[in-house]
Amino acid sequence: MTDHQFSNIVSQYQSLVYTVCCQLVRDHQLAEDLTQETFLAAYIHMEECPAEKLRPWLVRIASNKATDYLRSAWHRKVIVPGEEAMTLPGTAPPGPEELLVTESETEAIRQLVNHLKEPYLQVSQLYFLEEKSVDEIALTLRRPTKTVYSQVSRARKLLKEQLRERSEEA
Amino acid sequence: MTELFLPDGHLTDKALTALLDGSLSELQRLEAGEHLSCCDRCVDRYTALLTGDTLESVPRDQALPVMWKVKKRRWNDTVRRYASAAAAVFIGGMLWYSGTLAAVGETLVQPPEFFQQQITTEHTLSREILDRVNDWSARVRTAAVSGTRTRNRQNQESFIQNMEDTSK
Repeated sequence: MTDHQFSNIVSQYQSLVYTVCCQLVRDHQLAEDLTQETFLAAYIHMEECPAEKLRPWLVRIASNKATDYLRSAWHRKVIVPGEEAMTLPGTAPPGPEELLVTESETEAIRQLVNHLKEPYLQVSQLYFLEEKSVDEIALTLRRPTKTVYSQVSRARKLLKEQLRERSEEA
Repeated sequence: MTELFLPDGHLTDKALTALLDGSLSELQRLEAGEHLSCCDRCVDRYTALLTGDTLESVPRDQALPVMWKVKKRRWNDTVRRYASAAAAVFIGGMLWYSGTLAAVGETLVQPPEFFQQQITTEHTLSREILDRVNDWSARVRTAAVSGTRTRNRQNQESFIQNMEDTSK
């Protein structure tokens, strides 16, 4: 494909790509940057795209770029679960008695996992209950590995909050 | 709160509409974006909604900055390729001039241990055969020399005897 042809594609679809980026990140300046990144990625992988699927293909790339940004922004904002105990000064690590999960607690976690909603339900069932690896879950659910990883991370945070609420109520 | 996902895992119509009108929270946008990244069906549904008035106008034309990035990328690729080739030539030259390649070559020319053993064995056998042949040839030579000497001595004695008889 010549530069002129690709430039025409950019002119034709720039509004579409910009809209997708804008709707996902809600920031016009950032959406412009992501639009350019989307077209650059499209240029590199142009041979993989069937001509009749160009529109959804560009939407897919744009949502990938925007999601990558949102994911990294979310991780920067939220403390990764499990790090709180390590960062709190003066707290001793939990002993074996404290780490021991009783049968009733296991049942409570199982119930909480089964009551999660999508997109966390299947991921959590496979990860926490069936003890599958992230790679196996990605293959089973046909989701990208980093998506599964971040969904597991957010599901763990959700479960932790719900367990805390339960114990406070009790 | 907008229900984002159907029980079968796909995005609801309400979720797609909420994405269009910008009423989703940051986490919900992340969840929807993650799903759009891996679901053809929902991407097609979402793309079908992005027409006419729903499209936002771009603040400035993106064709020029995009083409500039494309050319920059192409230039970087070319530079990287030539730099790799130049580095390979430089390292090859350094190895050649320092004699490292020659040393490596000599090591490689050495026959493997199996062949070395075979050569040694064959060498020992041929030496034994050669020694035996030498031994036989030495014996033959000794016998021949001693025979000649004996004959010479006998000839000499008979000659002297003949001379003495003639002088008498």
